[in-house]
Amino acid sequence: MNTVDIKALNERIQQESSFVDMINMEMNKVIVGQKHLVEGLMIGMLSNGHILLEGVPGLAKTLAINTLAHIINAKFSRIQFTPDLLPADVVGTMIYSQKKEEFVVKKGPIFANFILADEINRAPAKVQSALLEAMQERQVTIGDMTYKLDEPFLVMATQNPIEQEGTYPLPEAQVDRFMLKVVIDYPKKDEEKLIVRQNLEKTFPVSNTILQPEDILRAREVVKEVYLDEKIEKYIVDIVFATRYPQEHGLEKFVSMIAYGASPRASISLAKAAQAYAFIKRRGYVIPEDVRAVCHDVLRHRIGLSYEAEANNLTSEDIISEILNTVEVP
Amino acid sequence: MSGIGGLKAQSREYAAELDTNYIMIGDQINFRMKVKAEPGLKIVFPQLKDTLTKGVEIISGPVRDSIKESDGRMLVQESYVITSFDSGVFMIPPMPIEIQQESYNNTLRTDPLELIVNTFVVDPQKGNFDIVMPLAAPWTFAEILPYLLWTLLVVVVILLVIWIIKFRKSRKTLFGHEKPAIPPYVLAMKALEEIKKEKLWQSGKTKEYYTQLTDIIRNYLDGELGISAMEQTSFETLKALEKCEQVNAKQRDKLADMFETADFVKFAKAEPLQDENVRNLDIAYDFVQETNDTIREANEKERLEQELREQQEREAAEATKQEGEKNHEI
Repeated sequence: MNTVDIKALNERIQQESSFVDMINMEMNKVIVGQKHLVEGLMIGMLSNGHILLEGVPGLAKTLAINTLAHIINAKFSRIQFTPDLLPADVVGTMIYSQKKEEFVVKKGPIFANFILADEINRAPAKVQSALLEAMQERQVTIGDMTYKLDEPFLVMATQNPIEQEGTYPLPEAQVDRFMLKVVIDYPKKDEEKLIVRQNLEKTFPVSNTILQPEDILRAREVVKEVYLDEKIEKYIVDIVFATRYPQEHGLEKFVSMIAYGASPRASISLAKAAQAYAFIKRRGYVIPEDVRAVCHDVLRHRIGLSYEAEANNLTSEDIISEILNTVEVP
Repeated sequence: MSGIGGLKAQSREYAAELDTNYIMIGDQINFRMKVKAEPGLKIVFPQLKDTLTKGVEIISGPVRDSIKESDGRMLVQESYVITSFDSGVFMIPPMPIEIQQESYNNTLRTDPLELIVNTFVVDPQKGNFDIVMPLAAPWTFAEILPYLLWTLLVVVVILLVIWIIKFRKSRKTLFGHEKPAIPPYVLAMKALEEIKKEKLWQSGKTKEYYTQLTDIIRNYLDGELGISAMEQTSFETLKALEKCEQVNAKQRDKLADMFETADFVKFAKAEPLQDENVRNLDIAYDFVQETNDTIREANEKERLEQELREQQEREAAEATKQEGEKNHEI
């Protein structure tokens, strides 16, 4: 087979992506199970996106991102979102220094590589907005000065699905800024037994630092080169359009169920996430399996359901699954 | 009923009267003022607004009426509908009725009337009662008829829809002869012949060649084996084929090879060798032919088995019949 370009790219990716297995190995030392979460973190990290995480408390969300930060020698911050949190508590503020007799900048916890915004829906809109703006712009303005945020910059915001009272749900426009919404579930029985044993014996394995943040930035450049054929582009667009105009794909039953479909940002995110997934699988080109693998995480928070859908207990998951089973695969 | 007899003055009679002097609280009765006088006189009744006297309310009126009596005089009357929402004894004061003539005006005053308003006797021992609902009147046929017609219409529409669905499922044409469906095997073979004639890969259209080749096989799988291959990835299709009895492992492996090459061409810009292109077309031909043979053989076997079963049943029935006749003769 004569595959000059892709062959060379494939070989390069084989080399460049060798660290993926090492990260996985180190993560597996500390995190029991939660493969999907780890995979989501890797996709977010490699495709320069942010992650919204939904899961009940105690599923190793903090541990996962903290471990990843340790593995790549990155700075990690955890911000617990509460109703009395202020934007300045996140981005930083100017304080008066009596010694210097002037206002000096006190940078907030957002100045880190990996941020865990814990229970983001507990803080009022202005704090959420400050974080989401920083996520989008990758810079923060304090006083008259604008500061670039360190790269890699990854925000993992968590939402607790069971306690909704007294929360400030993220508006649709803000949710759209998260590349992935990863939903994690409880560990399996065997995994939970291992977690219990580790805690009783107090033998917690420690991960090693094997990479530097610069390695991730270099890997990101390689991920951008992962070949995405126009057939895959068409497949992505078909899927996204099916969320907007289901009747054009033989899904008339969803017309009244979908209040609004996925935005063009969803198409971009789907393409980027598929590229990152192909990279993780150590391939230099995207195949339909890659798109399908990341489709739920990319689209689930971008489809607005109508009251009729909620009355029928229809979730965005069901809609995405049905769309994937209907849209023709190239 | 209590009418107050009027006085006779210059051959004129006048009076004020009630339908009854005893009412229950909230009951409505008529209050009338009447004057019998010679024609040509102008009779002016008092203008009553909303209250007759304190506690007695006017609901509607006045309604004026005049009748010519047999003695040539005119009976002119005005009536009001009144009620009371207080219990007790109410005195309706004398009403001034003015009779205007050219030479003089005369004012007549009616006698006062007594109205006794009774209330309900409430027995606190029995407790509170809910409002008594109106009595249900029996339904008439005219009332039922519209509902009956609507129900009939709905039933007719439902039956029509069911009939249309059944008709479409049976793939019959509404008018004319039934159109026989072309078997998937014939369609696939025809398409493969066409692709061979088109010489796509020979003219550099390798991607189109493999797209068409895989689409032919996927459509064939859909039509012949009921696998929705057009909406599945190569991996999913091969997985589904594992459960298919008509396809053996060798055929599956060959198809997997073809799909793999096709995926490389479609998504990774691969340019297979000429031999591979020819071989993959042969794989497609062989797969369609062999699976079709297997299916036909299986169908033939099933038909023969069915015939054999039916023959055995017939023979058994014949034997039983003969035995019965023999026993009868004995």
